[in-house]
Amino acid sequence: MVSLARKSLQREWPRYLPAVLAICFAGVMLFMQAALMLGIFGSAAVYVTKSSSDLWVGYPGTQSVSQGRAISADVETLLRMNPNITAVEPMQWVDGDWRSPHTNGGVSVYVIGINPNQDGQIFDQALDASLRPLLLEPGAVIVDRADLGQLGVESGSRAKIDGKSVHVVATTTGLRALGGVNVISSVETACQLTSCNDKNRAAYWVAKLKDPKNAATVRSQLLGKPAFGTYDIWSASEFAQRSQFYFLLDTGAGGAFLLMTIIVVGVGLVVASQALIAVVISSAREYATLNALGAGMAALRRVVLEQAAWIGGIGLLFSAGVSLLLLMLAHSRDVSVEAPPAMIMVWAGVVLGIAMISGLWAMRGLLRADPALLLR
Amino acid sequence: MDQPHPHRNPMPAPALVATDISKSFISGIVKIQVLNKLSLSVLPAELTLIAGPSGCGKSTLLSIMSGLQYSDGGKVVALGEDLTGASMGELEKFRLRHTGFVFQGFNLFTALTAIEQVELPLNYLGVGKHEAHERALEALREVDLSHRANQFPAELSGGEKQRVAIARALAKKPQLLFADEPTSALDASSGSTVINLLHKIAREHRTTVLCVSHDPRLIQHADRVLAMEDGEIRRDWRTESDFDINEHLHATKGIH
Repeated sequence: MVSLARKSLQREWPRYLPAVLAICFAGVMLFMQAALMLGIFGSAAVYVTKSSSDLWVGYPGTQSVSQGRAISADVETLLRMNPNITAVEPMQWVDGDWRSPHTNGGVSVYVIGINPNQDGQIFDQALDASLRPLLLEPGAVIVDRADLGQLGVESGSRAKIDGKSVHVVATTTGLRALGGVNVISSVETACQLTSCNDKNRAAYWVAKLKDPKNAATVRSQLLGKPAFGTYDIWSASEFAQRSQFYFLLDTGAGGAFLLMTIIVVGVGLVVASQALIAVVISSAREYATLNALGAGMAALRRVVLEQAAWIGGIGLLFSAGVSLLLLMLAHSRDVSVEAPPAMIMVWAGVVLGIAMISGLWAMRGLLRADPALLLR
Repeated sequence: MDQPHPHRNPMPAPALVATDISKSFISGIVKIQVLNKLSLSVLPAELTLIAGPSGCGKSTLLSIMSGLQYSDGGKVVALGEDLTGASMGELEKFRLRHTGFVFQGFNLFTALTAIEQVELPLNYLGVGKHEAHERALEALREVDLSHRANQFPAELSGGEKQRVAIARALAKKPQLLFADEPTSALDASSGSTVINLLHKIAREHRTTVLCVSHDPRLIQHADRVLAMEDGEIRRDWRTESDFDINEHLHATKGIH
């Protein structure tokens, strides 16, 4: 069987190059956009996803981790009374103004006060066991190494938060924040640094369960106890999702992402289909001859679709290669990017979809393949 | 020629019969009547040439008789099948099974070698890979191009390209072969080779070859010539005998 589509692509590849490049361009744009968005979504919930807590207790109606308001320490008692809970600790969340000799003006920072002991739950997946005890020193803070430039410090430097001295004792990675800089300290340091009026209040209380599968049951056991203050409880996955959706829907980022996706898909479709239709039209007389010889229009349409599939496949491979390089570059520059398998599958489907829709669109070119026109 | 003349006694039934066919086109606000109740019968196993000046309607006639285009009125019967009411899909199937085409432009895919060009329509016929290759090679051998089987169109001369196009049509083993101005884009020598090939195909494969051309050089190679002008056949004669085709058809079929 002579594969007209494949042989045309092999031997006349320059004619198909614009279509392949259009698919490749759209593919890279979509991939990086999705990876960046997922990376940013990840940043919104990094406090939850890089911690081992099973339940989060915070102020009712809290939309994302960064929106936390202090709640009473009475909740701690409630948590500790439940036999399904094995560990409880507070997490402080306070805003601060960072100044160092190397910054022009202040930098908004989020001071996250955590348990500095080895059994601490918050950021136990982000901080090395060797780093956590460093926070026991009063005024000690750890920051993401990618934020050092913005903060105007190096590891070991000193700076001020709200006029109080801090010491950057170490750096870590993967803890970049949205709209500010995460500064990790002990709960005590966080309280000392900021206007922490009541040491017994915290933005969140987190708990570990004997069996994380029982999160929903334990949650229902703990809710509806007004004697312990005003609070609400979420499982870790629920709170992470809540934080990401807040960022996606309420900040307008989701709309921007959707708009950009539509634009990229639209541009990819238009360029790829135009390139493909130009190739089809340039061979219209040959297609018409085949039709005169009895090859049905359906068979000719299959040729165009096969070409589109090849173009999609090749464009996908190219864009995967380029995206991989960009992903590595982003990682090396500590830019938050994530490309989970599910995203890659959806992305590949969308890119191939663009190619196939372009092929369907390019079928219009076959309207010119009327064999009767060859006789005029 | 050792073979008996195919149209001699007994006279075979016509392979193609057009009865009262009409066709008009709209150009702007003007309606141009290209064919007006034209009737014609074409005998099998010979080369019939429709000659006439540009714009006389000969290509339109060919496209209607070959099932490429519908007429406005009248009836076309090809190989006993009435094409008049056939759907586009039915016409495609008919063409796939029974017809070959050779056009003025060679219309070869630039990405395919000569043998691939010939194999391609066979694939649509459902011919197996091996058989398609053998048949394509045989067709190229018949047009004396087997040594150029692996060349691309860009590496072939105009005459060679047209011979590949003939091989492409021939490999299907069609009962009807339609040729539209097959020599117009060729020099005298290549043109002569091409028309001789068409004539040979009619005689040796017993294929009905209907050719339209305004090239007067072809007349001497045809078995029968129909002179067309202003959408009508003005003269109908045989080149190798004084056999009066009109008289025969009047007597046997009552046509034309």
